[in-house]
Amino acid sequence: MAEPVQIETGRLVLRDWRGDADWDEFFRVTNTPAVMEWLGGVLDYEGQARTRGRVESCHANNGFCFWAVERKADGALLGFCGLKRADAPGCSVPGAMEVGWRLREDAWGQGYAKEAAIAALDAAFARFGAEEVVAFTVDGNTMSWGLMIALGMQRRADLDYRDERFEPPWRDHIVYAIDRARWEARRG
Amino acid sequence: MADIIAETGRLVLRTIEDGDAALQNRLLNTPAVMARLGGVKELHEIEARHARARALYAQEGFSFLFMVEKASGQMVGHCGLKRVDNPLAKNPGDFEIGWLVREDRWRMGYAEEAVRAVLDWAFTRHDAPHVVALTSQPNVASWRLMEKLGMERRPDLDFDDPDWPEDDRLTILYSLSRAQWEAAR
Repeated sequence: MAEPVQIETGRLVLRDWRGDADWDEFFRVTNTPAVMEWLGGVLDYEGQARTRGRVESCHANNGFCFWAVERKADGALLGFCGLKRADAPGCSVPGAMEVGWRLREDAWGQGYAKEAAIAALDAAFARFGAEEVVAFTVDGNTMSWGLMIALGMQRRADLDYRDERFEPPWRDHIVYAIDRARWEARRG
Repeated sequence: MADIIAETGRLVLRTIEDGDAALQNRLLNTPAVMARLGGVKELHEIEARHARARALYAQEGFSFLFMVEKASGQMVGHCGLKRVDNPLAKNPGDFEIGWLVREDRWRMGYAEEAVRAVLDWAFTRHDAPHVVALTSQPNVASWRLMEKLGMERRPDLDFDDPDWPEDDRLTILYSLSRAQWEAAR
C-alpha cells in the first residue's frame, strides 16, 4: 500500500483520488473541447474509464500518479497534475518519470498549472528518486510547452516520438526534460 | 467616432473610442489572455493606456487598435503600433507591433490576419524602416507567429524587465525590416 499523498502549495492541494465523486467532477470540469483540444479531443465514456484506469494503476504500481488538484480557497477540483512512468506506445523513453497536468479552462492563466507542476517536480526529485523528469506535448499546444519552458525544462528533439493511437495533430509528440541538477539549481 | 484603419477578410481594425476601456476590461482582460502579458490589468491601467494611445494617434497617426469581428460586430482583440517606450529597451523609438486575441476567438487565425494588416500599415503609411515585436520565451504562441511572419530573432535587443512576472521578465525581441517584408510578399 502506497503512502498517501497530500502535497500543499500556496493555493493548492495535490492529493490522492477519492473515488467516483472525484472522477465525475474531474470529467465534468475538464472534459471540454477547449481543455481537450490538444489532448486527443473530448473523451467518450470508454475514454474516461481508460484515463481513470491508467491513473489508478499508476498509483497502485508506483505510489505516485496524476493527482487530483484542489484549490484550497474553495475546495474546487481544478484538474490533475502529477507524475507517472512514461508508457505511451512508441514513446522514446519508456519508464521515464513524466510530469503532466490538465486543468479546467476557467483556472487557466492564474499560475495554477505552474504551481502544481513545481510541486510535482519537487516530489519527483525529493520523494520519488527521479534523476530526470520528462514532459510530453504536441506542437500545437503552445500553452503547454510555454509552461515547460517556464519550468526550466529543455527541449529534447532527439526524444520526439509518434503515438500512433492518435491522428495528427495529436500524433507527433515533442519532449521536454529537466534533470535533478538543473532543477535543484533553479529551486535554490 | 473611430477611424477605420484596415479591413481584412474577417476583421475591421479601428481606432480607440470612448467606452472602449470598459469593453476591453470585460472582453479581453481575462486571466488566460493576459497570462503572459503581465497579468490582468486594473480598469484604470487600461484607461491610462487608452489615453496614451489616443495621444500617440493624434501626434503620429498610429496607435494600438481594436479588432472588430465583421460577422458579429464584436470586439475580439487588439493589435497595432506604438513606439518602443520601455525605458529598459535597447531600441527606444522603434516601431513596435503588438496584439492579443479574446480567449473564445483563439486558434482562428485572427492574430495573423490582423497583424499582417498592421505591418502593411506600418510599412506603407508610416514609412517604418523596420518593426519590432516584444515577447517572452514561454509565450510560445506569440513568438511562433512572429516567426511565421518572417520576423528575425534579435537576441542583441533582449532585456530583463523586473516589473514583469518571473517567467516573462526576460523580454525577447523579433524584428522585420522593410526589405524582409517586401520580399515575403
